[in-house]
Amino acid sequence: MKFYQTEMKKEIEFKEDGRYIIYYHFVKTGEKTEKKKEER
Amino acid sequence: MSELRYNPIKREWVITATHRKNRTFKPPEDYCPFCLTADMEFMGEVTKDYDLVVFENKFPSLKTSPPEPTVKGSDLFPVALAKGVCEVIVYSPTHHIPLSQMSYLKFIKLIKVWKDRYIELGKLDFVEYVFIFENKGEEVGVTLHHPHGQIYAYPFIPPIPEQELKSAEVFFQQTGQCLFCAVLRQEVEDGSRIVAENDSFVALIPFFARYNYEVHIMAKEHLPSLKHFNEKHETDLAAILKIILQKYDNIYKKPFPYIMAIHQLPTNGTREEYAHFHIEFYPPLRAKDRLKYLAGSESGVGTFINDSLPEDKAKELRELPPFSLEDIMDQEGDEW
Repeated sequence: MKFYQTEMKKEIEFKEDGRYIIYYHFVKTGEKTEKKKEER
Repeated sequence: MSELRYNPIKREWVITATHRKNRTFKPPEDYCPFCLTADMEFMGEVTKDYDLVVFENKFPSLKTSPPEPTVKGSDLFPVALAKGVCEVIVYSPTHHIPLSQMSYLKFIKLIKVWKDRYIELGKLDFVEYVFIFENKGEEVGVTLHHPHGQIYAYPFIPPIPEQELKSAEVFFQQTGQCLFCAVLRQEVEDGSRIVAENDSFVALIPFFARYNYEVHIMAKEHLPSLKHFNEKHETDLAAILKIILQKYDNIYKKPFPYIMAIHQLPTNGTREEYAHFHIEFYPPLRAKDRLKYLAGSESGVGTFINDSLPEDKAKELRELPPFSLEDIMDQEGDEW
């Protein structure tokens, strides 16, 4: 199974009516592969 | 108008939110408020590109600055401010792709956002319970088709998780064990209701299921909440969740409607030994084109009548693809 190391970035803004909105962006910072259980 | 009214007979709060009757109802796709828009005349919710986006619901049942109640309460009929937070979480800028068809990586990102919102909303001093859920399909009342979920941060613990926690507390006092861990152990020993499994999670239709195909995804370890997840737990939950949603779509060869409810630790800092992270699905269909109505017995006295055997439905789901994360990854390739 492949795992991805990620960094999550948040960008917070406010709408005209005062409500917040959070934009989430992810950046891949690495990956690793784990062998299946039966292969261990 | 929005307020909390207490029912002393059922010992539960009811939220009145009369402004919600004006909420957006099945708009044409060109006017989807969740699609990216640069049109300033049409005020969509989202104006920038994103992986996932979260915003406060335009028609919230609970508000951080709620109005004063419209009625005066009494000792018998307490009234309180509807103070809380209602958020919408949009999974993708793409309008037509349901969550089940999104990539494995998207699921990982979604779980990270769930975790972030659980932690952040849980920090608010007036929030006692953060409830993450998704209503999928018109069969459960969806009025906006762009794939999205919701998060409600309540100023009290709602009755269903409260009942679960009370049962778990009694069981813990009697046996010294977590009730959910015990249920999971018995389900795994039996095996007939298991649908899928990986290192960290088991998906099963419980012995006591109330709905057809009522899958529960349970953490194998005693993980009270998303806050307790490490990266391995996150990726394993992403994998099993995607497998279950795709199995669901394969039942009737069409998008499968459901309510997805995440139950976990209250955020008021209590009962860590009793809470056990799990996801429950309540599918509204009892056959391809037939709805299961919550009628007399279910609505009137709270006793569900399930016209299927959990063992049969679990076997059916177990035998439907996909069977593993590798099946999914083979379809998707390796795109970030």
